[in-house]
Amino acid sequence: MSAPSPETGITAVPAAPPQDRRFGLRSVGRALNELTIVVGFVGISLYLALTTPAFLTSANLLSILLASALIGIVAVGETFVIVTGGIDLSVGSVVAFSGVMAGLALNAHAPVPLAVLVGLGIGALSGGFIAFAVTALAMSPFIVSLAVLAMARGLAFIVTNGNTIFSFPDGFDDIGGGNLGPFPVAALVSLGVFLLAGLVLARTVFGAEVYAVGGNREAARLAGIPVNRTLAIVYVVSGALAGLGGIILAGRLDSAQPIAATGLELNAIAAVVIGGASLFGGKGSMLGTLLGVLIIGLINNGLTLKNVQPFWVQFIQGAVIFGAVLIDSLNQKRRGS
Amino acid sequence: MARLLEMRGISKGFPGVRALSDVSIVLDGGEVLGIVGENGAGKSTLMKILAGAFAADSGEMRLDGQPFLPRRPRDSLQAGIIVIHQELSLVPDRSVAENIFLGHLPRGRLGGIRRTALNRDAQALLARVGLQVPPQTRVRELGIAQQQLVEIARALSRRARVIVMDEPTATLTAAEQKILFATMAILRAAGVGLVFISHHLEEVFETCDRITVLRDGAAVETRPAADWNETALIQAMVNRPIEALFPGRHATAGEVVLEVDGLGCAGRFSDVSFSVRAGEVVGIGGLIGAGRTELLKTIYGALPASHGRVRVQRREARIRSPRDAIAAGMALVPEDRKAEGLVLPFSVRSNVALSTLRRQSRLGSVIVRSRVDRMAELAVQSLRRRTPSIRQPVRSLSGGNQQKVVLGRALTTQPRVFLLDEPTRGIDVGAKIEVYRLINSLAEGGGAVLVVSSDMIELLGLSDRILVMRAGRLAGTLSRNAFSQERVMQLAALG
Repeated sequence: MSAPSPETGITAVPAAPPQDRRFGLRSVGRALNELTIVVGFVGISLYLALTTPAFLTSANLLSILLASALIGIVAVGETFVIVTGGIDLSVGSVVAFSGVMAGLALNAHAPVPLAVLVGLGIGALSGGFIAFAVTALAMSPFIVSLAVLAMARGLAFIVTNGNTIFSFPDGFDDIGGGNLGPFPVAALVSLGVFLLAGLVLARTVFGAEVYAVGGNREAARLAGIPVNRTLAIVYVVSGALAGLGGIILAGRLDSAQPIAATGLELNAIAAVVIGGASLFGGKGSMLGTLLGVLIIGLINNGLTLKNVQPFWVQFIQGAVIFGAVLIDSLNQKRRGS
Repeated sequence: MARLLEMRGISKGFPGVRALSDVSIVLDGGEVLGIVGENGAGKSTLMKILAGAFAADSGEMRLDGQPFLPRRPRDSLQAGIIVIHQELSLVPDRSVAENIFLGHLPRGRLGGIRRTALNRDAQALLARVGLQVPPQTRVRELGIAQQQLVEIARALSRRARVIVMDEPTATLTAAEQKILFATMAILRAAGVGLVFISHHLEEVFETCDRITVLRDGAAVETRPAADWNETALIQAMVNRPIEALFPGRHATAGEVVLEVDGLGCAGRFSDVSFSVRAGEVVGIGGLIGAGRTELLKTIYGALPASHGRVRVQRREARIRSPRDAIAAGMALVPEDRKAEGLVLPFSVRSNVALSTLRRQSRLGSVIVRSRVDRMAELAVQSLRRRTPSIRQPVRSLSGGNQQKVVLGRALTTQPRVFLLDEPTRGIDVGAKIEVYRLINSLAEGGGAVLVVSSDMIELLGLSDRILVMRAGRLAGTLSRNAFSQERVMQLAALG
């Protein structure tokens, strides 16, 4: 057998010979992809450490961890979904909806563990709804989760009449706002979720199935992988983790607002994509997402420390997402699939 | 008089491969030149150079005697050289007229489209290619052959001098083929030079004036079509006698392993019954669209059966998904390796492991990497000859090695029933022979093998028995002593 034949490897789309592209955008994209996550993280940290004295204080660093905890937990679920080639736009709204539901349970004198279960359950149910639509009804996850984004937000307003729910027992508030030694409990919970999810994605049969479904769904199905089951699980997990996020946010603020966590899905998706996952599926890791979350946390923190106008903050976050997706699609083109 | 098109001494290399060496072809206006060759022989590369998609390393091209040096696809388009690919490049939700003039729509003063002129001009072009649909029709509503005619009309709208058709008939029905061939005759009469690339030799004989054989990147021979016959063409393509392609098999038919009884899949095929014994290789012949792929996929549970039963080793198999089929002892090698067989960015080992993840894990959940490595090594080694490293992404492998990975995975579940859909499509002759050897060893090991193939030589060379399908039904069964290309074609086309 000869070396890869140029004839079978090339699709009908005319392509320039590979050697012409050595210094093109594509190779920049490739180089950016692997190392940039780490280099970007270190670079931003160094820059902030050198230019803003307030950065390297333990209070500030801990506040970054606390702020990153919520994005992190939600981004873990989002990573599973994105590796299957799907997307979950509903997480921000589900955080708010499960937060207010847990809050309502507490106000109805439910014990803390039950309120936590209510929050997780509402999140899992929202995810289950998406899972049902994506698997049994074969609907597009983008559209379904967009619909759930609106529905969950609407429900959060309906059940609260638009009011803030507040004054929760300390046992509940500690989950989101308490400390264990010097560390915020929320950050520790988030780290635990990352560790567990990292092991699941990298080491288990389920993780391998998630990658295979995202890499080529039809090939996975014909190879005997339970595609629908895998998809259903990732959306339920993403919803349940958004529920956990809702509990943590409500605890931290000692209140649950129907308007909470608006736009959180953008931060989570950005973290996942910055972390090297591909929106086309089949690629991504929890370690990458963790770094992506911390980079987002650093950027948000730096913008605050540098007194950048809040209007710019949104713009810059958008630009970061654009850059991350651009790298992803350049990589996709380079592979010439 | 100068020739319409001359390509002389064209060479082209890719990193690690010499795709074309010193290839020369000439084409006159009003002539159809057939180009045949195995996959990897260099046909597509040659046409991509002509289309301006690749630059040749050496050699020259002349158009009407003038030097012609396309630097990009647009140069070729403007010179009137149009390549029509197997995958059509039409916009399904726009009208036929808009598609024909896509890229150079007639514009009014305010930049709007001049609809009246557009539709009038489109009408004239449609008449020339013999397509009778209103120019306002959406392309989505047309059949594949009609879409091809739209594509040809588009070529004419650019004042095409040379039209290259790359495997144009692969997805056409027999009736649609006739339309296409008639249009080709019209174009030829109008003085256009046509290049026709096809794996179907009968079609090449039917349409072409001259035939060039490419082999391993070189133009082996060009002769008038009348001076070729099918056997001579094949021998020129593969450079060895046909019998040498098929190694001998020493298998004796044992008990019945697979029984298919009245199987059907709504809208695809119905009422198919047959059985396959251990040690038997049964071929399934027929035209594209006859329901062969769908039959395999329904047996395998990838398409829902609407009626009928499947028994494996005398036991009723309730198969609702590929998972059930694998559990019942079946393996499928799908027709489209890249879309259905492999996860391209993944390594060889990950692809091989896909069907047996639970067995490679502790407590059925945590994967043991060393087990996966060992199994992948074993699976790849069992396929003999130069094998890829198990850590290489399958995307970077040749078609033949990719197919080995798919076959390797099929073997990991220890199946008794093998459903192979076009197992040698798009791979070179050397790899084909290896696949034939493997099929032999599967049969010798007591497997029941079902092979769908559009390659007549392969079908006749491999099979103990041939089932021929036509329009979703079993048209007939041929036993080895009744085999012939004519009998298969007759059943496939006429029933």
